[in-house]
Amino acid sequence: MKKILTVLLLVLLANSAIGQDRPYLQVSIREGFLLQKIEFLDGPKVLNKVEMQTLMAASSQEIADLYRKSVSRQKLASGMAIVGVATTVGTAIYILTPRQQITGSNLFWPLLISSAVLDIGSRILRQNARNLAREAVDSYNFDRANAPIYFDENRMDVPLFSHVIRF
Amino acid sequence: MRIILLLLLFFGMLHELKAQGTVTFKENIFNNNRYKIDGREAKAPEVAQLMANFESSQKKFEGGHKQMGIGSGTMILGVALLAAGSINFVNFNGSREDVNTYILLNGLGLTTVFIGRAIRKKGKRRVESSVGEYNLLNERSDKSTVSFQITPSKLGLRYSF
Repeated sequence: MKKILTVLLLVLLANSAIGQDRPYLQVSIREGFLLQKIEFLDGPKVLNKVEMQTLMAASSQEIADLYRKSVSRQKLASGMAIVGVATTVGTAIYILTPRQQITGSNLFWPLLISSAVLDIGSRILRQNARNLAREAVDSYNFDRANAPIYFDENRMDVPLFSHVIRF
Repeated sequence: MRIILLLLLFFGMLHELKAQGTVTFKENIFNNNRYKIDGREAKAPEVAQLMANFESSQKKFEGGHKQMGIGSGTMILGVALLAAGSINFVNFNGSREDVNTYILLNGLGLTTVFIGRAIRKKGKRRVESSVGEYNLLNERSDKSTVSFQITPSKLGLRYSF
């Protein structure tokens, strides 16, 4: 009896250790006029890139991939946003400067269209980055990658018999 | 023998630790949140109902959601004003009055859009933080259950702490 109790105690301890050790991450998104910043928080502490990568890699490869994708999308979106603003400014300058001579090429439409495309593209990418970051953090927090078929609606192992004791 | 059996039983359950009623969300094309409770799609009122045990999160969520709606409405109003300004610009005939209306409508429209955007952003932040809070509280709260289950793949006790 004593042995069984010890085993029980050990298992419980191990479980509580597993449950408590894992940091609970949160995503905080700061949207500026042009750029956004995705911050990963562990309580009040802001985690930097290296810490995030190690955490995610320690959890699972899929989650690490999600995080990496999010970061790369974010980078691409920022680049596109900056280039987009540059083209917008270029369009404005092009309209406002008086032209000395009649040139063959008209830059107005290409500039306008490219600035619009860059703006919309960067918006979509930014949103994508936000969604991916949230997905990565949610999967990390709730361990969706490791939980078998739990999040599926039509999971296979529906209990045939179940008796729940609440306390 | 008994110990080995017990160990086996507990070994099976180690994988089944989880909190129920986890809320996740994703943004759609219009930057509106689409919520999921445990992977099942749900509307905002359902999420608010789920948060009933954690009143501060619930209040924050409901308030934030309302704020987002108000912000979106204001933004739409601003866009309508801008559109009205453009329509006015089409029938432009250079009179002083026309210029004044154009400037007035555009200025008003832009201001309204920016105010709406700010309100919406604030609401969105509140919603996001409330969901995060709720998930944390829900996961770490004492909802201890022990259940005995037989499933096609597994047999044993399942408990969540």
